[in-house]
Amino acid sequence: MSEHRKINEEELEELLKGVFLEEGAALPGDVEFVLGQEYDVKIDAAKEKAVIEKLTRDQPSWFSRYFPAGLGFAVVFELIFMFFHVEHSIHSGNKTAFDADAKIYITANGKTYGLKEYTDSVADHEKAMIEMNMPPPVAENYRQIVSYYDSAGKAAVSQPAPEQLQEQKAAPVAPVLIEREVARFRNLKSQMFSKLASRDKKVYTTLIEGKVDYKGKGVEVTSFAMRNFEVTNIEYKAFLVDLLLQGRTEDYKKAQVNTAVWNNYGLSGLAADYFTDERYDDFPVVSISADAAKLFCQWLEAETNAWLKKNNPKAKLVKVRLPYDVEWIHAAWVGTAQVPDCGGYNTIFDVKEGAVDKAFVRRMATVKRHHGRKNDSADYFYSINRYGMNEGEIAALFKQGLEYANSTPADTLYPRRMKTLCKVGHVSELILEQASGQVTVMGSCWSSKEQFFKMKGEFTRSSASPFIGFRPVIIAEDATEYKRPFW
Amino acid sequence: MEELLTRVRKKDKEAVALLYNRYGRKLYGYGVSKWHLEEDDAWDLVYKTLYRVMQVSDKYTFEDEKKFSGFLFTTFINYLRNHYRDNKNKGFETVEMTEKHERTLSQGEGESSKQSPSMICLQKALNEVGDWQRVVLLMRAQDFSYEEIAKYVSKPAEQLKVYYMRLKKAVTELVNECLGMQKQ
Repeated sequence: MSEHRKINEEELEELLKGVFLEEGAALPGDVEFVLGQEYDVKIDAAKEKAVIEKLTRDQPSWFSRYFPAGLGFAVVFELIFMFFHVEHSIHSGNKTAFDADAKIYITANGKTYGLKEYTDSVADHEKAMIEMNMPPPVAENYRQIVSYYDSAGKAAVSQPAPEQLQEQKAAPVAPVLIEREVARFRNLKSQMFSKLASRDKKVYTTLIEGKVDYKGKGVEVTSFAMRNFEVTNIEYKAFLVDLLLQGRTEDYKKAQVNTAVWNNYGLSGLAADYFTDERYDDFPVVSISADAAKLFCQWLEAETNAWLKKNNPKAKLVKVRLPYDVEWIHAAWVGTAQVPDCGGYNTIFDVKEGAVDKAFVRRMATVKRHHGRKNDSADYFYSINRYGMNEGEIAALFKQGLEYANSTPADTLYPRRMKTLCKVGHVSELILEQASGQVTVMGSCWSSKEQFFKMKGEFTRSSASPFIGFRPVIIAEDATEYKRPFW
Repeated sequence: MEELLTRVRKKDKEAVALLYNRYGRKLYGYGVSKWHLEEDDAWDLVYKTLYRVMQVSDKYTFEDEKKFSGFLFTTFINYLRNHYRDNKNKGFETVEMTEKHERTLSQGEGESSKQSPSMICLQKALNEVGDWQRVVLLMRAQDFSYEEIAKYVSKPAEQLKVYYMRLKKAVTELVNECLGMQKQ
């Protein structure tokens, strides 16, 4: 069909087929309708039997299910061992170590396998492949565990004492890291520190000290640098991997992303994908606790300073933390922070809440007028409130954003793309109240105040929310330059 | 459904037959009768769909059967789309689209899917008609009978034929109008 040639009704039918295939279904009930029909077709019994047999024979093995080609971050957490207890038991000759039906030894994507079940079901060559991908100290433990079960047989196994079982269940977990993933995240980490140390203008905006009217009083704000967008999934992954490499398993547990909260909103696909799928690497990290965000800031500070001492010993060290409420307001007043215009409710700028006054609102009108001249197309995403959207709508929105953002070389932090996709994945943020030091939630677009507080209540109950991310600020002892308002 | 999924995850050999009987047979019938697939092509798509579902069964959680069957159906439709794309002489256009849960390692990030002007205009035209009219158009394109569609949209079958003729004419005009504007 040539590009702009008119169509006839017959051609319309063919185009409609294409639309259906693209969209998958016209309405949510279509699936039930299609699968509920009786289709009067003749089924060749021999071919039917052949397909069932082939499916039975070709059922994905445990190995191929969890180590597909192109290993991604999700695969890093494929095997979870209780090294401490297993290793201790083997070396101490503790004969009452294991129950043949014990369940908590190898876990993949939330499903646990009894070790005996695993060794029985996984072929030797697959065990070898798994071992090959492990760092050496881990591989040694793995080999011992496997050989213990392979040689010991059922006779050597006895029921552990109940307290031992309880202890096993509570043991800390240590995901196995694959070497090339480790190298990849080390590289990303280094990029993070380098950009922070140099206050890369594409990532950070520096503001000089000033005074801001806050809750009816003038409050001094010392100079600081603020991220231009939230911490992203890929940066957070680099953080988690580094915790593991440092053996900080307790911190790792505290910092984990609570992907299950997506399910509270019926978003099970995003629960599975949002943090692990590489497509969303440059989207804001969400579903983490306030403590996790603080831990990230502490880690970023410590590691960046270590990096500075090694790479630029004369540089001043940094301090990193969550932003104060007054700093947000100051950044908005100065005109360096973009205020989304969603036509709905913006928490931090609600005069009735008492943080800001009418003078601030008038100032925001001026900022908005100037900023409107510099809008880019990504600002469209910035004004969308996705609370209440179903999974199809959110996925379509994210897909649109990904198509809009440019492609990027692999394993590179590309600020422009991160900024765009953080607008697409627009979230509220964790903020510190300067007066109390308590963490609160502010920002983003909400259709109403009631909706915002509903979300906030849900966050308080779950300690995490798929609508809340964070960004750190860097405290500069003295700022020698600052960014003028964008006009 | 929960029991079925549990058995699939445990690689229970009977789970395959259960999965096929509950879903595979329907997909085969749908593919052959509505999309006029050749038998072997239909079997191939059913196999791929069920294999894929088994492959990812413990990677995802499904709140209920509706979500699971939605995922399974979408997987089938994606394979069906790929089938038509690979056999372009079938005559109707499709566009590049990644499967919702598929990691796009080979595809560059941010590549735009290219749509022909007629597809773009058709999607605009479909946005201007009501939900049930859209359903009628898309289901007739899949060769569902008026009686079958009537059950779904709760309209009398004998009236649907008239509605459909008028809808087709109206949408064709809308598309051509849009194409004319685009050409300018």
